Amino acid sequence: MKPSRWIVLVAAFAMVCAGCQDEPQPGEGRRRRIALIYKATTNPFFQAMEKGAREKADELGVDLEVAGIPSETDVDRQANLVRNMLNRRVEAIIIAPASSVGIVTPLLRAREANVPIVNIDNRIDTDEAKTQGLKVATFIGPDNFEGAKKVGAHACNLIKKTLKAGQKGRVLILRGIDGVENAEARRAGFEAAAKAAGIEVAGSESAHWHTDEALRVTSALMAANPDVHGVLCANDKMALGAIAAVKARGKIGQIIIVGYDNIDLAREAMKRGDMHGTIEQNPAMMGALGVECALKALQGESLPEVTPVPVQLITPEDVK
Amino acid sequence: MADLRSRITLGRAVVLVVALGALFILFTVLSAVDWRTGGVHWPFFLRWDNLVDLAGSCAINLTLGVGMTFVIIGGGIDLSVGRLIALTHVVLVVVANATGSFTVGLAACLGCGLAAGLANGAVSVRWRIPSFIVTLGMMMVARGLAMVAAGGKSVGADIDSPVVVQRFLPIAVSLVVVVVGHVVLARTVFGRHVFAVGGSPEAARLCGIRVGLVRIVTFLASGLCAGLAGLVYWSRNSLGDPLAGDGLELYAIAAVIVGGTSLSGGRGSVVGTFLGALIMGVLQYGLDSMLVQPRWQWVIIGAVVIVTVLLDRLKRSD
Repeated sequence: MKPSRWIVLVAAFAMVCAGCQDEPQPGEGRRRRIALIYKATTNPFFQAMEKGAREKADELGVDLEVAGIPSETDVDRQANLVRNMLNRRVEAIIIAPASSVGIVTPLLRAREANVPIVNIDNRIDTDEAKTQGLKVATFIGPDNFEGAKKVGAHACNLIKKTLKAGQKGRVLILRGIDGVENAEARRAGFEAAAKAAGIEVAGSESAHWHTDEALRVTSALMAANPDVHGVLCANDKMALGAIAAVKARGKIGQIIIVGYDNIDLAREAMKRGDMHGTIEQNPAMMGALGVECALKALQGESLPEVTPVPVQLITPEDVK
Repeated sequence: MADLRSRITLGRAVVLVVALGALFILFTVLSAVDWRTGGVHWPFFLRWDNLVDLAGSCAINLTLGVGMTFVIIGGGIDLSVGRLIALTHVVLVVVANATGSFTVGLAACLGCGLAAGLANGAVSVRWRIPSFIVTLGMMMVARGLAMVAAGGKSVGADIDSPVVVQRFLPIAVSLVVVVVGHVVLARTVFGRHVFAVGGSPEAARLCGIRVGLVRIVTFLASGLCAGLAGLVYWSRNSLGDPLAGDGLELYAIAAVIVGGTSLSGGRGSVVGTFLGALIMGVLQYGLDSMLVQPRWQWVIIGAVVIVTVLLDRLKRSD
């Protein structure tokens, strides 16, 4: 192609651009543009969250622009997505951060551009946000303490029904990774439920969310405490490990096992009668609430610092 | 400058510049269209903010790529650089937090990169272990040490990078690295020795070149670049993340290869790497800003790497 043709092409393109609206301006009658940035795009939990957000956006007449990083942890890449969205001139950002500390710096640009930030799933570090002067409209997250208390209380009730008069109920707790916010909240919820029901915690150990580790830990704890009546697991994957350990001792069905997350394998275990309860965290509702809150923030409404997402107890009756 | 091996061939340069220009125009046009309404507006891809962010997003790969160019031309490979970013920037954050001095942190960060580069080079030269193996080991060591230094979790930096630093330091660092790398490789005696060593170590030895030393220095250069990339990482994120940098060594190697440097050593250029890294950077950034899902991005970027090399091969066999 000759250079002169190039110039004509470029000039034509520039004229087309210049002839149209200079920039998408927010205002009356225009659809709002809101960004959803998340992580772990292959994780069903986040896929459900995205679906919930998209449905809510359609319902409210909002343009939702979605981007995610494939891993749980690629902080730098997620920061790039934040910059991309700002350059696309979105009006609000909903974000599930890969790093609760690292996301603060890239989000400062949003503050400068007066783009409200709605934080979902994993809470942005409040100290870091305060130091750097980042304001978050609201945090929308599952109440892990409440969820663990709910499923823990359900397990304790089942145990109490099987106890003989004068017998004290005893449970084991399988914890997630110590020091991580959701793991600590679930552990506290389990402990509160056991205490309220007057049931003793015979043993408590971390199995780092893993099934195989839960099998090993449960076997070891049951060897030391052969008379336990239940195992409270901080996620369903660990509950599957606990089921395997209990099966190996021939006590399946006699020991109450509960988990958290409501994954497919847990539902199957409940159908078989191996497991007795779990918690649905409603990721779809979290996504939908994200869109709602972003819209409210755009309209200048003030939001509470934390917007809890209700959790739901799932029992074997629910999956039949 | 008489050495043709160190110059990017005209054909290769044309292919790369055309590819880069085509990508740029493609994303500009795509960014001008509102896909929902079919309306057209000023392309956001051409906005100043966007161009700055685009350049910033290329910085890490550019910086690593220049170091990698030296190592590969010298006949080696450095698989450790991705994980070294994690180690060097975690060291920067931890040391700066502990001493309250950014300068001390930066010195520790660069020192750490140089030390790792020295270890890579010295072990592979002294005991004649292929650098693939030594740097593979170093990749794991660096990953582990980053976790150790960070105490097993992300560390927030007490000294945060202001928005201006966040946006422009990556660009400045990578441009300086590219210019210095180009001058050293193409205009100095040492640069010529690197080509000689990578082309034929035996011939280089007979010419009186200290082959081992030259190779060690190429690994030092790569380690230093990993340290500088650690600085860039800090400036972009104000965070010490021990899981950072996963797989970035492969991106750097891809940029070097797209840029026309021969994997068997002795032939290549920093200019080529510069263009190669820009192509990959524009592609990834552009796909991200068009909201293309990551699963398709892998397919597209991989295909572009193959096609660029293929085009060059076809052009050469004409």
